[in-house]
Amino acid sequence: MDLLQGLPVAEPWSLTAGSIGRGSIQASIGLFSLAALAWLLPKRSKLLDRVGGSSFFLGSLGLFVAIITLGTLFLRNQFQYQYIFNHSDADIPVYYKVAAIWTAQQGSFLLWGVSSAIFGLLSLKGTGDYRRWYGFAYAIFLASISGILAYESPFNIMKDVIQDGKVFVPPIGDGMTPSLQNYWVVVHPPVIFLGFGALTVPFAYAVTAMLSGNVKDWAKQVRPWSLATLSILGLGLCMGGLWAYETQGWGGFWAWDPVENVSLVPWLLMATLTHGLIVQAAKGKWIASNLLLSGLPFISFVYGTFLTRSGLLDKVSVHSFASMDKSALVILRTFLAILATAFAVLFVARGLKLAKAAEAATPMKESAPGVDRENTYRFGMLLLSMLAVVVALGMSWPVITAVRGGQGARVEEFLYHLVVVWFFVPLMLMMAVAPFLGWKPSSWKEIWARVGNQLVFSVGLTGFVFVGLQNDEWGVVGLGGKMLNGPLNSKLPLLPVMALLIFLCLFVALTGTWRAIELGRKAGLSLGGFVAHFGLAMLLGGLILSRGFERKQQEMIQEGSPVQMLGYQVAFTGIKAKDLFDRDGQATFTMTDGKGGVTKMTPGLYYYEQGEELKSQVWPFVVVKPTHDIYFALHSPITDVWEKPISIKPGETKITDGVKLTYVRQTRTGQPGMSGTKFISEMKIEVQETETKFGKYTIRPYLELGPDGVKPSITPVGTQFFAVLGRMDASDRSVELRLLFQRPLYPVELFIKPMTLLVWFGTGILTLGGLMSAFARRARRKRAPAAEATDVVPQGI
Amino acid sequence: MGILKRMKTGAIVTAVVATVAFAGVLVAFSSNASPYVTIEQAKHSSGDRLHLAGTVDQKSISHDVRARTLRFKLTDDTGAKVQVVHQGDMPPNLSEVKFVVAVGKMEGGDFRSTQMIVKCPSKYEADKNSGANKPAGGK
Repeated sequence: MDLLQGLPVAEPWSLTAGSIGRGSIQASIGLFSLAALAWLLPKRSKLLDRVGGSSFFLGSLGLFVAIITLGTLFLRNQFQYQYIFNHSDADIPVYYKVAAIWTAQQGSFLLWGVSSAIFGLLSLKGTGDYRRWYGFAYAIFLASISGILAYESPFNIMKDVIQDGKVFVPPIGDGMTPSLQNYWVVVHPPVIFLGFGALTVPFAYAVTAMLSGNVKDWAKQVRPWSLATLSILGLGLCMGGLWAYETQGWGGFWAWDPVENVSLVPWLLMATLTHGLIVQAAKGKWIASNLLLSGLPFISFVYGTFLTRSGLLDKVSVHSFASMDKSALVILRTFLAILATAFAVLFVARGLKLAKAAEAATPMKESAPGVDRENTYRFGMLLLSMLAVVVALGMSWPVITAVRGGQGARVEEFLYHLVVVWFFVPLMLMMAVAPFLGWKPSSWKEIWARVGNQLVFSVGLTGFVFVGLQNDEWGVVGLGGKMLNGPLNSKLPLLPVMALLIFLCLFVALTGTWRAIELGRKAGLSLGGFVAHFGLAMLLGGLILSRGFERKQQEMIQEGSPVQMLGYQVAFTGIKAKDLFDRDGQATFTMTDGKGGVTKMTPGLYYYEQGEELKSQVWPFVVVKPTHDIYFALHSPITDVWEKPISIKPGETKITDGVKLTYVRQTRTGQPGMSGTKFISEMKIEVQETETKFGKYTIRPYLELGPDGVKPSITPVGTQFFAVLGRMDASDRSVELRLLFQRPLYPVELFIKPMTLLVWFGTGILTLGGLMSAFARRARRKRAPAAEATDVVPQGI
Repeated sequence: MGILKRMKTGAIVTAVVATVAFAGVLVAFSSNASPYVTIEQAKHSSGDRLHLAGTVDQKSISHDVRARTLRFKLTDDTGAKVQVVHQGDMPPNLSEVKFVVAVGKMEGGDFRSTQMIVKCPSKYEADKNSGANKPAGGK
């Protein structure tokens, strides 16, 4: 192939690296299988244990080598590899070249494998008596994911660049999708995949407990891991929301998209588990449900991965997914089926019995009447796990309904909100009251005595918040008449609903803080639970306020024609860019408030070529203020009046989008084939120029022959438009005409979102609290387990 | 008597609450989820958030920028065609898109949509391994 001529031949090291990548993944399959086998064999010996451990370590090393190799190939622009060609380019910054590893399927599976292996190695050390079965369960999973990677390999060389046994290196790649080129692509995927990887730990512990027969001790060991998983996954989820907010231009954090839900379900289940483990650690109860809850987050994630990768949700998600390699999909499906079945069988056949026996062996007192922490946790966990079921059902609804016949149905954002609120309200109430409950039952009267003050105080605070929100620029003024969709097709007034939701968040934040202060410093890191709940309340409060009291308006802006948006005058002032393709290019706008204060807004705008077409990439611009965000989203500028050029023949008249065009005749100046010859198309055009003004013009756009080929004239049509000729067809003498705006139209959307900053702070505090808890519950070998027994402090989050 | 007495009240209440909640969710989803329809089904459906999926006839796109109205012909899975009149948030660059889901209802022979779910064709569509345009797994 001529195309390959002049291209450099791939250096030997790069081909070796590919072989190392492929080879190390294959070796990992073998090593993890060997590890599983060594731990499975019934006749135990020290040697077998050592073989298991070493193979596990070497298998993990194989995955690490694979990802490092892939990263090196990306950094060194080895575009002979299909995956690298597709997702990277020579001129993108180094950090995007690294991030390109996980921008598509193969690489993200590798990242999943790597992060699972990291957690495997970290957790294997402290498994103690559980080591054998823990290693076995974990190794089986890692062998499977390595198996998927063998088919979904990022190390395949393109067929097109191989000639005569030589591999040629294309100088450039296809590039990273422009919409991904943002700092979040570097940060978010590794964090959330660490969360996904960590899900394997509680799963493997549950399997181990059931296989080994000891279903009591694992709770203490798995607690720090479950808390760490919850925190990391939660941080990943929040980062995903912040990424969407900062780049997508629809002004929100969460859209209930299947991709988001796939990560939310395991998080909710993991949150349920962390609470269940508190009860097991303190009272020796709930072993069976904890075993189940320990396995479900991981299983639900594998299920979600399958659901989004299988093509079953193609119509539902705005994300387009690559269809997986068929063999890899078969492995994933088989793995999911075996995983779910094996876990269910193990749980029913062994887990339930073991749990019952273990609980029977623990002396338990009859519960006295009243409310205690145990029954609050029971209902809280029930609601939390039901919430997970709601989300899982919601994301699967298109598939469930399609199976019943027809094309299926989709659960939309409003429906999620409608259903979720039934769980949200009681959950928040319980979260608020729980810090004041002990393991000993209290009467309602006693509870009221402890929480009543805070409740009244929270109601008062809610009032204060509303007073604070009395602002007509960003607050609630003017939103009084707004209604929301309620249950059974009813309409609910916005303000009271918001008041209730805000009250709940304040109530949770306040009681937690109160109790934390009461317990004081002696509680130390155990206060992590309160910190996390406080962060969660702040995060939810931020989401509720910024969405519930959001104001938005969509407009088209042209240079020189400012428009009124949400009480501001918004004007386009120009483009700031070195050239059309400048990645840091900006469109500049000014926003003037009633008092003359001017805010400059610079949403990102640049163009890139895709095939023969010029595409635009836009980024929203956010002004962050303590009280509210001004979110300004620019959409792709419109330069053409028509979506496609109009093809017209002499004598014809066409009316398109309100523009009447008549092609009168074609004339020519000069000789055909000579430079400077013009082919002139005389046309009559009638076009609406403003709301009220119509213009009629006769125009003579032409194509001119020059030394560099044919060039069209840019012919003004009145003061608003340009006419530009495109292709001329000699056979029927038709020409294509484009009508362009002299001043392009900028479709913009302005959102004003109160208290959005709380989302950022909430995320940080939530994560900090979770990690504090995880650290507080870490396994400490040589310390008496006094803290558990004395139970001064409510534990965990 | 035995079983009930041995089961703790807490467990019974838990089971009842769980069952009621689950049933409630199922009912809510069944009656309120937005159905995917064909053009023929859309003509006989009453909801106003019908999801009509299909391919866009690129030649038929007409875009009245000032009135914010987008019109195009859509062909559904059965091969039937309908005129879609879209008003509301504008999808970016419909001319780049093949497959859309229009959300709305039939009105006087046209499908009036208020929301458009657009699947951006992947930049790498032509390649053997067409790539996802989002990081895989999570967002």
